[in-house]
Amino acid sequence: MTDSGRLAHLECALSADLTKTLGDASILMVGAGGIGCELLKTLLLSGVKNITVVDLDTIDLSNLNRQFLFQKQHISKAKAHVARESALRFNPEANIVSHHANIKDPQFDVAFFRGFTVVMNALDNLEARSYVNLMCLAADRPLVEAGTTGFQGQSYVIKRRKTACYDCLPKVLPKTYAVCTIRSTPSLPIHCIVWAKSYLFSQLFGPPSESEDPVLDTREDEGNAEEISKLKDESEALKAIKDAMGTDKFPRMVFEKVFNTDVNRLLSMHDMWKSRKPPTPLVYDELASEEEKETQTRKGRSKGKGKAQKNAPESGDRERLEWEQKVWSVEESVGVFLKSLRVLATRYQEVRKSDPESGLSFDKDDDPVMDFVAATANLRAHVYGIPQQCRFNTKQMAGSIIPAVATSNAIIAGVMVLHLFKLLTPSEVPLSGIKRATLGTSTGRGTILGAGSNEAPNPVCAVCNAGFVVVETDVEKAKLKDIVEIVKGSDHLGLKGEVSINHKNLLIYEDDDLEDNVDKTLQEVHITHGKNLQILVDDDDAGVKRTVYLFVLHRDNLPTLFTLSGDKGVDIPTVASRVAEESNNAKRPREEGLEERDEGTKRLRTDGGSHDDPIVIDEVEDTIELD
Amino acid sequence: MSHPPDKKQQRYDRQLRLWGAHGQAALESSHVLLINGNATGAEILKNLVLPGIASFTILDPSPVLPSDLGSNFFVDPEDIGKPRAKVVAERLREMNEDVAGEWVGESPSTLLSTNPSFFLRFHLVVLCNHNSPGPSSSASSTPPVGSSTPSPSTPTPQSTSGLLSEKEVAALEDLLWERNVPLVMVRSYGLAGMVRVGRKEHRVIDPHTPTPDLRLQTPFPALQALVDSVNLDALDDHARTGVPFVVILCKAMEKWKKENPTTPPTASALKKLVLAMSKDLNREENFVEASGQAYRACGKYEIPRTARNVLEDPECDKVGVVGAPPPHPFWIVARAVRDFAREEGAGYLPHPGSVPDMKADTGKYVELATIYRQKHLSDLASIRTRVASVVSQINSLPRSTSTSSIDSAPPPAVGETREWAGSVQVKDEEIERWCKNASQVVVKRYKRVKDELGEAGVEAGEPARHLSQPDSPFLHYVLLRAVDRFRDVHHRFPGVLADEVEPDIRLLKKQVQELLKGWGSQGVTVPDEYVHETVRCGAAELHAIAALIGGIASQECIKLITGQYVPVVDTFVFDGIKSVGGVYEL
Repeated sequence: MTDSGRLAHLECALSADLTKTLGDASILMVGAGGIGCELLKTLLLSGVKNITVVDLDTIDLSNLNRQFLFQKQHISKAKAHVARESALRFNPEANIVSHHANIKDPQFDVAFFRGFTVVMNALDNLEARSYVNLMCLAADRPLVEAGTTGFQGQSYVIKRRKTACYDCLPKVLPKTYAVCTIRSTPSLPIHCIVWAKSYLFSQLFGPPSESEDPVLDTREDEGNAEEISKLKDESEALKAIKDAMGTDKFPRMVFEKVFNTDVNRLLSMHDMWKSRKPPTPLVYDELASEEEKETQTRKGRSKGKGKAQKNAPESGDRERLEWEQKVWSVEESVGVFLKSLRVLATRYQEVRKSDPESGLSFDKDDDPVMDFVAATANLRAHVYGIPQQCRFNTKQMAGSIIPAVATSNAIIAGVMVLHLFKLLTPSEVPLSGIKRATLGTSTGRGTILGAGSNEAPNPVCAVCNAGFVVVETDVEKAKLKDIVEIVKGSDHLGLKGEVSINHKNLLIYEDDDLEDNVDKTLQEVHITHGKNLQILVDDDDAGVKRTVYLFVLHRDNLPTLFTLSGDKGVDIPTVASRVAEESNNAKRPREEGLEERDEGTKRLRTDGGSHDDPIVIDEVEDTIELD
Repeated sequence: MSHPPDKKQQRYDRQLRLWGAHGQAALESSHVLLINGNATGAEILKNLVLPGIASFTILDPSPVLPSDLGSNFFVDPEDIGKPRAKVVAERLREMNEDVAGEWVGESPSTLLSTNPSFFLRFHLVVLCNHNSPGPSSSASSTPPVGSSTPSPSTPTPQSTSGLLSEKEVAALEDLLWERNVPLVMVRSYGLAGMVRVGRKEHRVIDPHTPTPDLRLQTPFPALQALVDSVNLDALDDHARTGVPFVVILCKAMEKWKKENPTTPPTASALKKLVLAMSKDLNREENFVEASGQAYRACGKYEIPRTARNVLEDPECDKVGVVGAPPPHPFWIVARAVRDFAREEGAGYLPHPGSVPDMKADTGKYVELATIYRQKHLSDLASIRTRVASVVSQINSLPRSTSTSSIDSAPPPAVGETREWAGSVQVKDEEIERWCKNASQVVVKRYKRVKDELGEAGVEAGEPARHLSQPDSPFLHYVLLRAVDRFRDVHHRFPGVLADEVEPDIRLLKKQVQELLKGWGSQGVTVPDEYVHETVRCGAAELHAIAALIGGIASQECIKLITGQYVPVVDTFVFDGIKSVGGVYEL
């Protein structure tokens, strides 16, 4: 089949010019999941020939209800590669490049993004969306953003300084819970689930170095200091029980500690229960099956998963589905709890044999882990007189599962490609003509697919209301003072005012503070290839502030110390200082509790905050505070 | 790690969270017919095979044409000339081994006249009445090849083989209508698309539009007792923060009635009163929550309009009438619920049994949840008794010679199986689902194709009303209808012959004018550029539109099969140039 035959209908319905532009364009597709599979197919059938796919994920059974480029034999393989192979089967002439990698890896630098005509997001999380948004702003490439949840979805186009960027509107942050609610005074099923997953599971089976799950807010205030210190003692005691892991008495010890001893200790704090319903401790001998009790009296190591669990059907989809969707009795929960403890203990000891610093991590699709969390949460709910949940619902709450089907992904991917047609139309469609599409669950006469105007940039957005500059330099030679020179020097950006330099929300340089750092090379402050610096320039005299994102590309053997590209100084937008302050305060997520403690040590962060690889720089440790 | 036996549960996990085990069971027992395996049709089936329908059949006499390659993902270059139904069916089957797939290479139009019973084996029929003619359609003439049940080929114009005329579509619907089988008609045409849903009667027990039912206007005795047991003034500061907003609002209503015995409160007045009752709004978040919910306690309780329409439906009256055909279980429960609401329910529907999350002390919250749950269970018991008595009454009636008014001799199952040969039965599960969703139930009756296609099919005022808005997607409804008439007259789509574009524009314009005139909508026009665009696209099926329209159509199919969520009423039209969609009830 020749190209001309394949494309005839496109030339007819679109235009020969647009068909050619589509064929010449180079598209970066971030994500090869639900939207990604549909998008790859629709792009190829719309005359697009050059596509690069990046996805860090592997294929799971639960993807197959919608990600049609994957089949059973592909489970556990890289999504990006399998998507490429399946799509090539259809169109062998297409030029598809696949990367099984994280889009945040340094190899995908600004130069990489500049290599594409348009970037299309098919992602499932705020953090990666926010990152790609920033990179597209830096590379000045249009971004087609999209997302779906169940029957709903949306897609819109982001173009630097023409439309709102992804971060122009505040996002809903994941909910956090006060530690005392979780540890002492739960009142809702979700509190018990968070306790089971983020506290008990990670305490028993998590890697030793793992800090507490970020959903637990462990800040102390004057009211709960005593309680928190008691809870710390409680954790210590649990660690002692871990030494018994692998013995037959381990499940019983855990049970008695968390559902009896700790509950009785809480009960002894009479003040707590004056106006609350007190919890009821559970008694092992009353609830464990005879079979379980026998196991405890046997000598020697447990046979692990050898015990039959009569409550969990081992075969039959329908029985299993029913079992997962009914609320277990207390005895059933005790059975599942003890059995899953034994299975997980065996697995924990296995992984620790090869690496003593490792442990198990929570995975909603890992059955023993999910059994443990569901049973634990229900037993705790029972102790506190809170309604219990079936395993199916618990999984949704514990795993933050977003419902997903093929239909909405297909619709949204279709919309994304229509957006692409408009972006690439040679006569240039005004951005006002590229509507924000919203897919809703139709209710009879309601519109299914609505079109709204694209939003204008938020004038106080901390992300897009900034300058974007790329510096190519040797990070072993260039020093922080060279960066300051880039910002202030009249040959370069020529900005006036007080400069502070941040990387990943950590302050690494500020005029009149941290000046010792100016002679450090970028390498020495861990600014390597692909990293970016957020530079704030506070021009007090003019009463304005500027933000510059400086993207670092490492180059050997440059004839000069550095070369710059991107915005010139005059291009960099300003924000009136007073407005900047207000928007900073407004942006700060309430639960994060980031205060400016004193004049010298600011802790800044943009929203959609990431918790990954925080950098500790020894030399300036005293001024760096990690989240 | 090896996969545990519950692989189906895991495979379908993400969708079970949308329609649950009940919806999944309905999908897994449904047989779907697709007429024409073009790009749009293949996309629709893809989106139904993935979530696991029981089986599909593709009816399509067309071979794979070069034009399919550019738009249909499920055909390869080496498939050219092979039966399209076969190629597409085989590729689709690869995606889910739990789904059976068949193909029939006959002309739907022939089958309709020679073997109409063929169409009665399905729970849902999808008609993609369009074939992209491709660039060389005028020159080549590829005869239909290979077919599992061959039939003498009828001479049809090449570019339209496999397509049904307006009259044939009406005849197909006639067949399906009496059995209450939904017919979903889908088109992707250039940059426009359309999805039309039709069914005699579509009943939805769970549209997924829950609204809390708190009984704040008239607390039932157990709720009143709980309210009475709380004395806000006697509670300490801490205990006050644990009082659920339901109790606070009932207290506020009592206080209002005492102070204003004759005037009921407005929402804002009650809100004010609630805020004033708090000692400290910073601490007492539950009072703030109560103020936000104050509107729920105001005004007189009324059964929501759509649910009321169901209860007042003539089908309810027919239940248990001597000589009437056996009613569908839905209507038996509806009748029981109606009588309940009129009698012991005192204007209320059975309680759904659920309570929203609220800021409250665990103990009080659990107590409240238990009270509502008990209320639900006792209402449910009462409905069960009523249903049982209606059922035994119906079964004791002399058998009517006619079968049911609706769904006579229904296909095996769409979620709600039942045997007409034996006595009438209502599954307990259905009664429970009804009671949990009584305030949301919806019944939709769609317009018939033949009525819509007739001269007076579209009410005179409608086109003028829609077309008065600039760039209304309704323009494409008019154009696609005109295209069909053009095809019925000229046996080809407009714009497919390179040298006939200008004349075709004139001919299509004429069809548009006649349509509008037939509707009595003189004075309204379709702008020339829209007519030009429609002809210029040469009936091409673009994949982006096929994927989008196919996605929407399959989503409506899922709603029709599961009986959950409310399908579109009745026509969705999409304009891909403006990226705007509209829903029209015609």
